[in-house]
Amino acid sequence: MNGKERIGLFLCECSKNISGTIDVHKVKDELSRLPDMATVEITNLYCSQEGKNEIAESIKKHDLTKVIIGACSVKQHEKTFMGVLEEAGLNPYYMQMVNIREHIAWVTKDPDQATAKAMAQLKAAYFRVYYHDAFEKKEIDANADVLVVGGGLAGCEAALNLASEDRKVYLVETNPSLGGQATKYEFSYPHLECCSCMIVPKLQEVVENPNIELLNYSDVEDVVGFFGNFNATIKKKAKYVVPDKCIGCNACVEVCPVEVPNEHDEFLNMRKAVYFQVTGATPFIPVLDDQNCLRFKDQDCTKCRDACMFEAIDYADKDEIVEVPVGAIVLATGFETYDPANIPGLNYQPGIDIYTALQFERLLSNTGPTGGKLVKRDGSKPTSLVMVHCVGSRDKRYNNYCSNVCCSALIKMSAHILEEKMAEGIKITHVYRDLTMGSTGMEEMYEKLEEGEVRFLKVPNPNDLSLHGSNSNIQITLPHETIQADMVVLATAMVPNRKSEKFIEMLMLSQDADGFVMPTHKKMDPLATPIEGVFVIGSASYPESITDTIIDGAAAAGKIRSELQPGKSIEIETLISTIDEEQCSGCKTCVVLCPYQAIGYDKEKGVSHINEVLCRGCGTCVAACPSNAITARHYEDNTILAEIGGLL
Amino acid sequence: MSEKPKIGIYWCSSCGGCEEAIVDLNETILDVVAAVDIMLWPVAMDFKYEDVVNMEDGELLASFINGGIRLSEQEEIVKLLRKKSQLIFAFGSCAHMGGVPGLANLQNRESIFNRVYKEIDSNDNPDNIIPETKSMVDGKYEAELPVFYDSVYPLDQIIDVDYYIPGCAPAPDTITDAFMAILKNELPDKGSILSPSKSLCDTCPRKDTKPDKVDIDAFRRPQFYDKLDDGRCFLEAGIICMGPATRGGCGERCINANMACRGCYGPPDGVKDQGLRMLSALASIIKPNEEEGIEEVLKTLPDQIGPLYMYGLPSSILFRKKMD
Amino acid sequence: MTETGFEPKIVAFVCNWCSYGGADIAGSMRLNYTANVKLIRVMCSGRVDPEFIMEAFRGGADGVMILGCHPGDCHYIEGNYKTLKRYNMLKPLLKQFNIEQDRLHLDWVSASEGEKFARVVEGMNDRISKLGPLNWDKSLGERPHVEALS
Repeated sequence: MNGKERIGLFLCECSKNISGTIDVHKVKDELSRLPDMATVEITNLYCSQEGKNEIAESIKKHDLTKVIIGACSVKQHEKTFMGVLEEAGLNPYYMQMVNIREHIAWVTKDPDQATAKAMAQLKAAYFRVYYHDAFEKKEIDANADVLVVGGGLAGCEAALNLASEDRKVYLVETNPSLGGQATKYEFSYPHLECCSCMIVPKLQEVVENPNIELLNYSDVEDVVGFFGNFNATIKKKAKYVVPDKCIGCNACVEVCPVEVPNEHDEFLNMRKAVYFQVTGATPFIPVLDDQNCLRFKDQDCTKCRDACMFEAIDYADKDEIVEVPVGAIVLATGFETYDPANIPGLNYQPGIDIYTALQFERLLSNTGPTGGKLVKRDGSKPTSLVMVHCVGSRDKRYNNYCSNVCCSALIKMSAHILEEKMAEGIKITHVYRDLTMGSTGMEEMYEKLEEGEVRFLKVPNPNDLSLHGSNSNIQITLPHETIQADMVVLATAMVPNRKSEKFIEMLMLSQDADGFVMPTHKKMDPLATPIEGVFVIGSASYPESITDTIIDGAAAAGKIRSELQPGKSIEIETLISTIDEEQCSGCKTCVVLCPYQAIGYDKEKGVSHINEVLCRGCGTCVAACPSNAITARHYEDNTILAEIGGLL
Repeated sequence: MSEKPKIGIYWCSSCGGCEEAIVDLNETILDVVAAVDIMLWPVAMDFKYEDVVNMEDGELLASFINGGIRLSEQEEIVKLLRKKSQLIFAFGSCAHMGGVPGLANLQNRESIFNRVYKEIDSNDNPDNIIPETKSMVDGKYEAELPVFYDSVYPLDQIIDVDYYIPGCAPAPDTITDAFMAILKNELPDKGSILSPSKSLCDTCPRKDTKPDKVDIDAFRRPQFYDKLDDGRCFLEAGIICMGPATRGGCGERCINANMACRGCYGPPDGVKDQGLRMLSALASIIKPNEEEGIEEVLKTLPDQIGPLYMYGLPSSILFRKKMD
Repeated sequence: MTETGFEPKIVAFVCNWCSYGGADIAGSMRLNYTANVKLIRVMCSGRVDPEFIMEAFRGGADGVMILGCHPGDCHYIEGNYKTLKRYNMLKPLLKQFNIEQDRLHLDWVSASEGEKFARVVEGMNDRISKLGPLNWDKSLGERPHVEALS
């Protein structure tokens, strides 16, 4: 009604699907009379090539400024018709598509009622289009480099699949060595394959890849920015060992006088202050732990430097802060195991023969505290071994989920013990609730154990067992019997690495009820997060087997490769919301509302600001702003109010 | 006949606070009086309605009208003033939005008269007499009372308003700035509200310490809260401060007195319904996500119209409560 | 048609990702439901401003519906939670204005729930038919009109 618009209304008969119920000619007659309605046309199928041409020609012939299309669902053809407008030289947002098929013709029996409803909905569109503004697609420059946090198998797989000549990967690992928890296993299931033989070649590839900058023994201190434009601050901890000079001869380690509990061996033995995290570490260089080294406790010990024939020890080394610009971040911080000390009945304490499964993996490992011999704390071989499943798992009191791999791990370890004849005549009993063995090959392993007279005792909830006694004589009380063992293994739940908390806060991610990072959608988009450009893989997202962490790493790399291409800018959502800084008083009501963290408060200006890269255009902040300072493109207040007015 | 511009000041359904506000300009009032000729000011000067009727149309440069419209007499006079004035200023919250008297839009004439003249215990009205527009006095004289409308109306729903001077009452600076703008001929576009549009948070002394993320776990009433003077944003404690939905310019007098804003300056430009905008903002930051949790929080706010529409009920979208 | 011949005017805000899709499925299934409910598409139910709802009532709607994604399924993660909070706060306000609370209805309809869409819409039509027309403008009473004093 302003004399400046020339509106075109196109009614699709949809091969009788619409015109069979709605009297399109009556609609045409009625709505032709509306002011500024330049033309009302009817055709059989507007989605056909002829139909689309008709619209395009009509736009030119009548010099249309706005277009209304009465047809099927927007989900079918909104993009089609937007394309028609664009080709005809009209901004694609100058169109309103009204669903008169699924929403009217197909669901309204009475033709008069259907026609009346169509009339009302089309009229609403007519009032609406006056308010339509033109919007252009927008692109921004993006950095295609990637930061991978965590050098376990998931992180390494992601890094290897991403790194290329035109895309650099920064792989940050807090420990000295790559490989994560997988370096603790001697064998993997289902074929008892040597674990280190399996993973070390992959880790070595990472070290040798010229496009991966490995920042081991380093931590990410801060991340700012957004998708395509992140900036990460990384602290490279002082190693005190010069990588180029060290040949890995172990001389420094041998002479070090300090002994501290060994994290890698799950605290079953000690390590030195200068140490290799893993026997056969990748990279193959020791580090000096300045939290425990005597030099940092005011003593002038120089034993390691004196022992080194290659001048590879450098006491003057310092922590270094580096800033790296990246476009995407992959969180691969992995898992740790739940502490069974939280479960009182299990009597888990240091020094007796009750072990976590991860500790037991070290015990069975050639590079572990016993050199791979199956012996008790007193050095003798066990005669009876009880392996308890589901410790701290599937229980509301502790962790209310299944950790996927533990049943298979315990069966693997039993199989290994029997096959290698590590303790002749040993009686092995598994106390379990259910056997959840997801991967192929495990049924065979299980059957072999049953043949080998391994006893499987089913109980309602292993967390309700009580264990007492001391070394070599542990009584385990089950619901219907008490059994005795001189060695017990508890398969504890996998929980998120506590270091991931820092990232959750830093990147403003959310957690699910179990503490794992919440992805965009657990089923349909499990690796992405609502924070665009941040991905979560491996056991940081859910307890996973080695296979699944490899899959995650490769898949996340695939996603990043398509979403963030080197040299290409990224297209951002066109229909975003914007804050008018002249109207915004900085009340910050909106800041907490955005799940994409797209809204930030600018302290200097005293106003809030929406990041156009992160905004998805949902409009939730728009409805909440007490000053009406936020506008939703294409869904502005006036636009919607006009539509409401037209309907009534 | 002096050369000074002529103005009129009139009051409708109001408390007299706006008249006070003009007087409270202290010495400045003398400058005002010196600069203009006041031709109508019932509270302070002795001009009669007849005097105004006899003026030429547009003879008054400006009339400042405060109070909401709920009597026919008020409608007659403001329409008269519209004819005789070049500019009409809606002065104060009542003229701007209906003001506190606007809360009477939760009643109507019948319910008000019933309550006031019949139901109240302390009445001595055995014959249940209620006011009539015409009645005979001593059997000889016909006395007239204006019609008492069912609703309170803001000024701009009765006559065309040129400018609004907001506040209950408008702050001295707001008034002085408005007068100066008139005298210097520096008024903005017609229809403007003469105070900054950005909401109060912009200039609030408690803004800097307000966290980026505030959510509400319960609504609290200021009289039961013992930390009003801690300098922190009231919303952090669940006390409803209308500041985010209220335009600025008042000098934050209430905040500085450790009292949350009640919204008397009305909403920022472009906001239709101050109460609804504030409701949407408050609701959006309620902390729990599930139904029961949300209900628990809402239980702590038994009355919504009081805090949300204290000054603006007649200018809200729904305008008044529907009477049965 | 109701006994009195009253056909409610109901406005429904449907979100692009869920309830609009649900309405589509209802169409694909050729379910038959009342024509009294007219749809307004928004990207997210979180866009629905209380002002829209009140303007709809003021403009002649007898009922208003908001149909969004089920909690936990919002395409924009949390928009529907904000809708829920605003709706719960708006209901008591409607009561204070003496508008029957049932005239505003919030429901969750996923993109596959064609049958639920039809059922929810029919249910709303039934409720509003029983409540009768709102006629908000008429309920404002006579507009006073006296001339200027002369």
